[in-house]
Formats: sequence, structure tokens, C-alpha cells
Amino acid sequence: MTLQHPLDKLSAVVDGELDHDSRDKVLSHLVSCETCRGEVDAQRRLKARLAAADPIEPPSDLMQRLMGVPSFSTEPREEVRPVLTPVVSLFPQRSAFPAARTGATRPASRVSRTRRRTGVLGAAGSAAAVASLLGTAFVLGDPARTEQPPVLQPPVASFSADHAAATNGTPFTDPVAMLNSFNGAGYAGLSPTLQPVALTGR
Amino acid sequence: MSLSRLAVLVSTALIGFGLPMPAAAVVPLAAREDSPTAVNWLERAAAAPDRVSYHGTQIITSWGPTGASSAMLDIVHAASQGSEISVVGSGSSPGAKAFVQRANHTEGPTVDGGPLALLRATYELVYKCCTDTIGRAAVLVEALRGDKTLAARFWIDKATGLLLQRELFGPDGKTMVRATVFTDLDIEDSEFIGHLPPMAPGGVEAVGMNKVDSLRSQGWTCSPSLPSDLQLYDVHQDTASKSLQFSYSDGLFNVSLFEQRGELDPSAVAGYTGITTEEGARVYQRYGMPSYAMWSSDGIVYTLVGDLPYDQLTKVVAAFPHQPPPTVTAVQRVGTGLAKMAKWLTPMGALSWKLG
Repeated sequence: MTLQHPLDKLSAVVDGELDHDSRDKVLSHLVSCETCRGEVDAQRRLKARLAAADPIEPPSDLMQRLMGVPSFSTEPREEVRPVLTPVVSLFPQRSAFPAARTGATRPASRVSRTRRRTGVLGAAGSAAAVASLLGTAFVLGDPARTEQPPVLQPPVASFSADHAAATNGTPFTDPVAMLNSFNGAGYAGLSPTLQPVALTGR
Repeated sequence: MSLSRLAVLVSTALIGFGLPMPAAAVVPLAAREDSPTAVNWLERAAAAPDRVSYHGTQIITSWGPTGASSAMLDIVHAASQGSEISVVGSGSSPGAKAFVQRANHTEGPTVDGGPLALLRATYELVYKCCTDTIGRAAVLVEALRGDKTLAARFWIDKATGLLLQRELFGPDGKTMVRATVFTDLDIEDSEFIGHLPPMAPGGVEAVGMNKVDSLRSQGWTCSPSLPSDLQLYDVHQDTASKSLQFSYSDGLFNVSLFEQRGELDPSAVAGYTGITTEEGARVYQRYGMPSYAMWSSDGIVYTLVGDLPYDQLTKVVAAFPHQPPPTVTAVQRVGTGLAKMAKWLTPMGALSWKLG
């Protein structure tokens, strides 16, 4: 409810060219300003009359004249981009073959490490078994695996429509509400097969 | 001796004897008296859309803590059918259009969605005589709260009875929280909408107020009243989701509460603001036109849709049960899982499905 009249934005609000915040500011001003409301009304009527007017046909020789312009071409321009290959890679790929590695050390003595490796493997195996057992128990103990009510997503668009119907049809324009979810072919998130229906009593 | 002094003396004597004070001894509030002329004009406003066809542009604005939210609508209203409503001047929804059928209300006449009976019961209605708006002669009716603060103003067209403008105010009686304004209006002799856009999805069937006790015994939450003087006045069932719709109003603000059996899916609340209640439960709100609040408690998912001011919305949501889901520690989960596995390993456990 600003005191300044946003005269420069009145035509934009009629044409739907304002962003969300600017549109809200202008509409909030219009609610409390009869002068600007009259101006918007006049612009809407003018726009409606212009829209109802016959379309203006372009001159028949317009295309020929356009083709005569030297820089005009109907062929799409092909954009050429140089392909750059980096000379130095920041992350050199390691070879899968150990022999190809530079400075790789060969394993020293296998005999001295065999027993230790067996012990380590046994311990690791036991730990893995216990971990898998506890992991299975953790999964089985999930409270969601017991009798639980179904997890659901409330159908907000349908609820918004029901609320609008119950309150005598003031439609809502919240982006998630039903009115804005209608895109000309159907309602977002709902069956696109909704067709105009015959009137039925509620 | 005045009635109030007598009540004080009686109550003092009863407290001295250690007895509870009877309800009859409570000092009554000064009786409100609605202006018959104001009621008459509001009745005309409620009935006007049933017999007047028009084409007009309407702006709806709602002011909240994060600023204003507005909509500009082009409305073609046919008295015999309903309204074709298109959004005007919104880049986010070009060509958005809906057909809203005129509802047959069981609770009686409504003014801008609010039942007139509840408006009369909650507020004092005052006739403020003559004014004009959008070049049309109108009468002004005001609704006052019990403390005499201004709750609403109605501009009603003298010629047709149509509601031209409505302003709603916050508890201080000065801060405007919502406004519905026609910027232009053409009365049509006979309007007929030939090509109806699709009606909104969903649809509802009446359940009725006489089923409330039965629903309550089935475990549904059916509070007869909510904070901010909201009264339950109607119950419907959504035909698509089979959820229950409880309609609350004070005559000015309207709220629909939807209840479904289940738990709220966390992915359903993307874009909503999460709030943790004192009990530790989560409520997800989205303030706008309309405002939404979602939460689940004790196996029921609640979805609240309405036009309440922000402070009142918070109070209304807080009045409902908010039981947080039971928390299970990792050790408890592992213990439960091990117990299940042990049960499988015992012979009786393995045969339990055969033994019943």
C-alpha cells in the first residue's frame, strides 16, 4: 500500500510482464487506489479492443525485400569452436598394469607374510560376518517393517479445489493450487484427460 | 443492586463456603445487537450471485509476514451456471482458467465464502449507509469484534446487491490482512458460458454434521471449534482420495481441514517451511493464497487449507494433536532384528506360520 502511484507499471501488470514481487506490489496498491484501478481498467479495455481488431497483413513484397538484404541468409550459421586438448593433465590416469608404474617396489618375501596374512584375513572375515549379521538385524529391526500406516502425499491440488468449492468458488492462485496447475491441457500432476464436464448438482 | 455486583457477592460467598461457582453466576457480556439493515444487505449480497450475471475484474490481496500476495482475476459469472475464472497478468500462469460451479450450501447463505449465520453469531454487524466504488452507488456494512475493533468492511452494490469489495482486518482493527476488490464490473442481462473449461479435479460428496460423533468414535479428529472463533459447519468427503474435509469458518475466514489415514511422506513437503512443535513433531507450512499446513500425528495426515492471517493460522495448527513419531535407537533396532532372527532359528518359530 504505497503512496506513490506506479503509473509506469500499470500496463505491464495488464500484460503480465512483471515479475512476481513487482506484480504483488502493484496489485496491493490497486486494492487501495481507485485512481490507478480506473487506469488499469482503461488499459484493459484498450487492449481488448486492439485484440479484437483485424490483424494487419504484411506487404506482399516484404519477403523479397528482406531476401535482398546482403547479410540476410536463411542458412543457419555453423559455429566453429576450437577443441583444446590440455597438454598437462592434473589427474594423470594410473595404469592398470603394475609393471607400467614407475618406481613401483616389488614385494619382498612372500614366505614371511603368509601366516600373518592368513590371520588378518581370518579376523577380517569374522568381523565382516559379525558386521553383516548386525547389519541384517538392523534392517530387520526397522520399525517401518512392522505394521505401519501407509506413507502418503496429500493431493494438494485436489484439496485446493475442494476448499474453493466449499467456500463458494473463490479460486486460488498459489503456484501449487489447482488454478495455476491448469496449463491448457490438463492439471499438473494429474491425469491430462480431464475434459469439460456437464454441470451436475453438488 | 446491579447484576454484576450481585454476581460478585454470590461468587465471593460461594468461594468462602468452598463451593465451585455456578455457571449462571458468570457475568454475561454486553449483548450484541446486529443492525437489521446491515443483516438485510448482507442477505442480499449472499443471494445476488444466484440471480445476477456479470463480467468483471477482481483483485484479491493477502498481506502476511513476508509481504503481500495478490491475484488478478477475470470473472464471467452466469447466474444459472457458475463462474469462469481466468488469471490476468500473471507470467507464471498464462491462460490459466477454471470453472467454479455455484455450490448448493447446506449451511445457508454465504458472503464471499463465509456462512452468514456464523458471521452474525461471531461479529456485530453495523450499517454505515451510503458510499460509492468503481463508479457504482453502494452501501457500507461493518463487522465489529466483541471488543469493538473493526474486523471487516463490506461494500454492497445498491442496484444488484453484489458484493463489490471486502476488506478484512487483523486483531488490532487497523491492519488490513485481506482484501477482495472489483476493479470493473459489467452487469449482463443474460450470460451463458458455452465452452466450459474443465472443472477442478477431485470433487466432494456430503457427509453432514450428524455424522461427526460417529467419525469421532472411529478415531478421526473432529473438533467442533478452533481458536479464532472458527466453528465446524460442514463435513464432506473427497471422492478421489476418500479423505474427510471439515469446513470451519467464523463468517469471514474459511479453513478446510483434510484428514487421511497414514503418515506424511517427507517428499510431499518440498517447498514448505518446516517448524518443530513443542512436542517435537514437525509441521510444514506454506503461507500464501491460500495457506497450507501439513503434519501427521497418531496415524492421521492433516492438511489444512485456508485464508487465515499468519498468527491465527499458527494458533489453529497448534490446537491439533502433534504426536511425534516414536524414535527407535540403533541398539533397539539391532535387538529387535536379532530377536526376529532367533525366532526363525527355533523350531517352533519356524513352524509358527503353520501353527497359526
